[in-house]
Amino acid sequence: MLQSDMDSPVKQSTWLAGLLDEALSTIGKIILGKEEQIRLALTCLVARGHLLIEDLPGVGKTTLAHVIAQVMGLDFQRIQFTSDLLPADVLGLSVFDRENNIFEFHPGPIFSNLILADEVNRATPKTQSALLEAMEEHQVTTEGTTRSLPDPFFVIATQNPVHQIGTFPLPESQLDRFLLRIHMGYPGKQAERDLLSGADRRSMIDQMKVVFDQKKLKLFQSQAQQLHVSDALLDYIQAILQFSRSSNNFEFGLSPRGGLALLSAAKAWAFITGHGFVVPEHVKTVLPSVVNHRLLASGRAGNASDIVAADIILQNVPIP
Amino acid sequence: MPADSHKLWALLAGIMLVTVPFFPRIPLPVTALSLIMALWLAAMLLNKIRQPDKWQRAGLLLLAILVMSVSFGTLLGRDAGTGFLILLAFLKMLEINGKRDVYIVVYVEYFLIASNFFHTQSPWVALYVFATVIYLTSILILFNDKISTLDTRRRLMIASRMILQATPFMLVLFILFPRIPGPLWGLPKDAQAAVTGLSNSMSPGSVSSLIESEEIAFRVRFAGQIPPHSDLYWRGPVFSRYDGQTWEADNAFGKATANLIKGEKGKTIQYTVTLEPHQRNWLFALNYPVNLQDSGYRLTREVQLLSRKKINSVTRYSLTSDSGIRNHSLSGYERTKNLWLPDTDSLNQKTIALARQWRQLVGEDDRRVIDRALRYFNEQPFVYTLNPPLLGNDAMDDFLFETRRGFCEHYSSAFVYLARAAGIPARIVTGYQGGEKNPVDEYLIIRQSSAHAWAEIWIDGTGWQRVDPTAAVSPDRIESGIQDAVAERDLLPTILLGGNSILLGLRYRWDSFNYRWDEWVIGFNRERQFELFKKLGFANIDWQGMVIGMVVLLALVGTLIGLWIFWQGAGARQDRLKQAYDRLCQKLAKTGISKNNTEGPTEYFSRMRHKLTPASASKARGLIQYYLALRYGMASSPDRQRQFIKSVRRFTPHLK
Repeated sequence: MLQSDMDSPVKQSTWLAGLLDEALSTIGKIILGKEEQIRLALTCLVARGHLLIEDLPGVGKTTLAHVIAQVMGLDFQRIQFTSDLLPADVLGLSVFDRENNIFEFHPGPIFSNLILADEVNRATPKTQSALLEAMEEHQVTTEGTTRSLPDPFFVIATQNPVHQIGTFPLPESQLDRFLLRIHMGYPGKQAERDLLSGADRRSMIDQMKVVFDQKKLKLFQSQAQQLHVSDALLDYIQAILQFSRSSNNFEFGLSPRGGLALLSAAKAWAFITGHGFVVPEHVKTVLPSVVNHRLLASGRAGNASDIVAADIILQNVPIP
Repeated sequence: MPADSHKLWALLAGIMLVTVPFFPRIPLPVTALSLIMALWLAAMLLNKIRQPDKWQRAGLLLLAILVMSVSFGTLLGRDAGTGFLILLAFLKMLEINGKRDVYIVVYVEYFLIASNFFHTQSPWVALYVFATVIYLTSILILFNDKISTLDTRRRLMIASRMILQATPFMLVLFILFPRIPGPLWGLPKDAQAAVTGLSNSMSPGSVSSLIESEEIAFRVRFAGQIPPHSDLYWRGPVFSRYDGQTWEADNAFGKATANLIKGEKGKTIQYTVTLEPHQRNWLFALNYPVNLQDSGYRLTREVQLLSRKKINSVTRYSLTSDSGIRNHSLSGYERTKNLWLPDTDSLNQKTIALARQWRQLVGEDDRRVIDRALRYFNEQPFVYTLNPPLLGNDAMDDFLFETRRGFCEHYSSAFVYLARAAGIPARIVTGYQGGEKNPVDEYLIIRQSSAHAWAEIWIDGTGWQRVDPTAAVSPDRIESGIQDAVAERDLLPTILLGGNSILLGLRYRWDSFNYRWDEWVIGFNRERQFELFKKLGFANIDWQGMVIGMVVLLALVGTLIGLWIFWQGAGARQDRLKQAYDRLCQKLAKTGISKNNTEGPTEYFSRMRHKLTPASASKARGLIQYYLALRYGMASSPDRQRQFIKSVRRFTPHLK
């Protein structure tokens, strides 16, 4: 949406820009033709949010998560969610150590920088909520002890379309925990050709270069949060929130958390696209990923499946 | 249809709201054609028929002109004017093709709404007009609400707020706008339709027909105590000519003024009358008004108070009456006039004989003849009734000796006839007797039902003296009022019957409110305006002063409201920057691509840049980046803002 020749007059340091470009191009070599999704995924990471990828199996959800972990230099755990997965399988559990006569905590896979929660809607609500609480709190409480999760901590959850058999759809209250939701979609014709004719993705990931480390990522995250936001932009965001609450297009409006999510996603997007401040176009770009899983279009608007919440907002809320 | 149909439904509802109250007042064909066009629009909105094409519209216009010429034959005047406007508004509704047409319809409706005041100016109408103006304003909001975020309630709220903001202006204009006397404010002739009230002649039935009317003739506020009921003779038209059936006023020397002198004793009463319009020149007063020097009113020779103009709007006047005032002489002309009877040789022979008989019995003293006459009415079986039988050619004989049932006009005219036959100059005075005290506000309500007729006789050395023969027949009528005097109670309008005390209390409160409305809103005329300024300490204010005051106050009110809106508006400080940006977008719109308001600056630029020459495009890009930095970045400073505004002013886009 934002033209590349429209870069802001306030540029970031070339060092950061170089790192970001390198990360993007590295990921782009493996995930073909999905620049937008890659950028959004990085936006989510930089905004310290969690990402929900919703699409059919086999479109590269897992690969994307894997690649990001690799490029960012994060340790990576994959949890395959199934209907018999228990909270302890995710969080970890204490096992009695006979030799030392104490219970010893064996951390679960969640104690990693990047978690890929695969097919999160196939687990029972109990397990889902264990994961989602950990996502929100950045800590895990088991058997009376609270343990902090590593920082950075980033969850990429994938979800099959809800109408598939054997799913427990995430309730709205829990969908709200994901900063962004993206769709992968099928690759374009050329990208598909390259994919078919190219090398094996798995081995490519193994050979991939690590661009970031945790320290740089944290620096990015804090710098993105400090990006300047003007009153005019807050007016726009408030207009969006107000519209979502007062218009009768939606079942219910955006929550304050939704508003914060929109702001931090817009900041992160502005940051990774190299801008020194946030303009309404940034908000508009991230808006579909931020609000489409938070808002339920109601009534006549909801019946037409191709009308989604973000389009209603984009077409109706004027930029102040 | 460019606009959504729900908006047009709202517009249709608006026009119905405005025009329906006119329908009973305008001729049937106009109403019918209006309704046909309304139905056409409704069917159009339901997609049953198409919008009328050019020829159909021309046909409708011709039909409208035909209906106008059949119903009115003119476009001038109140009813023809409003009728034509109503038809035009409906015609316009049928050819709505954009916002401009909507505006025209709404503006015509605003005008129609105001023209309700041509008919009546009651508080109810004011309330209705106020509510409808709010609704019409909400329609304007609806058509300007591009993103359709406002529901009906919200739109009405905004409209109410706008009207509320306009109210101080309205009040300033109302109070200060110079009331220029003259035809500028006059209503067309047809607005002055006949109204209930006394007429300029009296025949049997002309007063009693008023008894049925609850309408208010006037209200009076006294400076002191309200005088007793039996003293309240509100003097109106005086009749001295009689043709055997009808009493008429003497217009031969109408311009002559009364010759009154101050008698010895007598008390003065000060009071203020608020007279409802009755389309006549006469005013009502107690005997006899004295302070008329500056009022513009005058007394005729027959002591009737007259205004120069017809009373066609609520009129308020203050009077002092002095009961000690009397006439000092009776000219030969007047004596003859007030003794004259028609055809004394053939008509009413028995009556004339009776009067002559009394005269022979009592001798020269006129007073004793009068006593005789009153005693006759009192002692003979006369009945005071609202529906007397018809009288024949010898009306007086029939009444005095046969039917003996009558109302005040019968008694007064029979009495005057008897007096004249006995050689005593006498005449009939009509007006109102008594009044109903409003306990809420201590003023007197005089309804049409208090209409009354009595007699005056000339006594040498005393002057004209009031004699009320009705009092001799039915003392209750004069002592306490009509409700106690008439036998057939169910013939009286309910208002006179009293009854439920809560309802009565409410009615008095409502009347009291109406009175204040008449006094302060409808009757706020030039005199009232000056009176108000005198109270406020501007005794010598003239038109210029008033106009200057008005302009100053309007500016003050405008500034205050403007400041209030300014402080309310968030981000008002960025306005100059935003304005400059809007100007830039206007300039760029010359490319044929204009910005829509949900579009960000860079989005807009990338959409239209291909229309610009490369040099222009890069200049525009620079300006837009500058704007973004000023508005969304940290770069904003007053200097840079000014620089941006200047650059925008200099910028001219060149097209490829």
